[in-house]
Amino acid sequence: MVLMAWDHVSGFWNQMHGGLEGIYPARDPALDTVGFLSRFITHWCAPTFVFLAGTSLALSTIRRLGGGESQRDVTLHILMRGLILVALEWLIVSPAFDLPLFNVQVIGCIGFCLVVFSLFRLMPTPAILGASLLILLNRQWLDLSWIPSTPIGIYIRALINEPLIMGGPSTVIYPVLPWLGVMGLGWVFGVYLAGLEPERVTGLKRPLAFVGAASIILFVVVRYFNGYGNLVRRWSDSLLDWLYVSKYPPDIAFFLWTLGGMCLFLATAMIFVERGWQRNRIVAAVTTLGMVPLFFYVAHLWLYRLRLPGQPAPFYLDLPQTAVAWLVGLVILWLACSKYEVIKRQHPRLLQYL
Amino acid sequence: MADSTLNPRTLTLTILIVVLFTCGMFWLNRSDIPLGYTRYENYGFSLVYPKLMYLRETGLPGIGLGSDPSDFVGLVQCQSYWDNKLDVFEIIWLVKNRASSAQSELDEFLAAISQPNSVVQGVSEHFMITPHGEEVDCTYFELEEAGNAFSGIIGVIYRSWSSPGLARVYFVAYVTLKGSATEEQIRASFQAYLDGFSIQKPE
Repeated sequence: MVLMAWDHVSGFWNQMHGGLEGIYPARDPALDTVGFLSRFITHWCAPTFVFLAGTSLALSTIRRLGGGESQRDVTLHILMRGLILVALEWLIVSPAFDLPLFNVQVIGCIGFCLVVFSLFRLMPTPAILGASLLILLNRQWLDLSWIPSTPIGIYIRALINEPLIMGGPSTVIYPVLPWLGVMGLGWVFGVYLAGLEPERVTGLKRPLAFVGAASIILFVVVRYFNGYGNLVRRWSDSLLDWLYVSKYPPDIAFFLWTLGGMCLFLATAMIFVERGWQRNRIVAAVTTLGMVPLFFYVAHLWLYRLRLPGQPAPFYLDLPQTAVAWLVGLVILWLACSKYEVIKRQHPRLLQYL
Repeated sequence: MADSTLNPRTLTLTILIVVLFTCGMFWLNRSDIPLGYTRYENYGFSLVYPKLMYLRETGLPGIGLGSDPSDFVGLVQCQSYWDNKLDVFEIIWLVKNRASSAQSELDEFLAAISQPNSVVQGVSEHFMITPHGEEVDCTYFELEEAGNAFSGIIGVIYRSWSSPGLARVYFVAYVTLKGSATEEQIRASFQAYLDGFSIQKPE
């Protein structure tokens, strides 16, 4: 989440910040190595966000069902939460990015994924795993050209599988289908976690580290062969071309790198927990941000944007100045998130969807 | 609450189904066009070129042969300018009386495109490249145009035309900014583009 904040503050205030990887078929030559990498490190955010959304959905669903709630109530709860996220995207997030009303980015995409998951979750876990893997490995071949090229048709195609930044009624850079696959994997992980004794959870650090390392090795293999799994060609052997993968839409190379990295981060987090390092003040502050992710997301956008919708930036910052703005913003957000976390604990029903 | 369906047997079966399905899809969608490339087909030839290059079709008004491409004359040019690196690959075709040799055809063409504001210089000895078994008579050249200096290779390929005594001549050229690549690099780039170029069945 702090990396995501870095991405957004840079997008708002630093003209030399990259983006739209995949929509642009090759990297921006104007970006130097530091500029490129300062964007590249933020690729971990969205896949981790969506994967863990699936994990927490599984854990909360199992807890609700175990607490006696009916399948119908759980479905309605997930559906409602999904629709609220879509509404938040359209009414609060899109204006922060100066994007049109029906724009879909990560929050809206998670919302649509939840709408699908309100029923998808009823399938057996191995079927969810199989369907998720099939989506991730095969969606590049999905042909939606049979949908009429009317404004609504174009928007529906974008919403399903094909990002759209121009020529349609709105913009969609997070099509639902590939991210549904990621949420499905997160769901399966959550179901697996729910079956573990709490004290055995940190024992997952080795398998997670192994899966993470294997994913990153597979990333190298996929980029080396420069065919299946890449939506953006590796145009040269330079490091930056190796790392320039498609995020919009996400390709297999992108997911291997980012979900592999996420597994390594999770393994590291488990080592932190085992050694009691989570009580360190900085780790505890970051954890506070993670306890109220949606609040953080909405708040950080408007805090870092710091201007009204439609207003261009009055000036731009260079990289070090952007870093200072990012750190100052994180301190303010930590204070706000700490307060909100207390309020949320005091009013769990009132804020259950947020 | 443990999920009893999440056991090694069902997991193995699930992964097996995923792998088989994906292999099947991979087979069904195999393509001879590499990732990031696209195919252009017209005027008796096809060209596989990088998608991010800008492709244009035109006639040859510069040497008085009409502004629109036709079966008889035209130019297809792929161009990219990226990271201060210029890459141009172009194909020019002309239908004309059979020349005495490819070499003389090439020399005649280079002389024709040499004009006051577009000076061709430094033409090297001719040499032969044979992509797909096709003989391409080539020469290095340098070009000065509007204050810019370029270097490249141009080659010529012959094809008989449907009317007796006529031939369709294809000039294929690779051009880059002078000094941005050595002769070996220019030749390697030219050959890479030439590998994606093929003339369709004889007419």
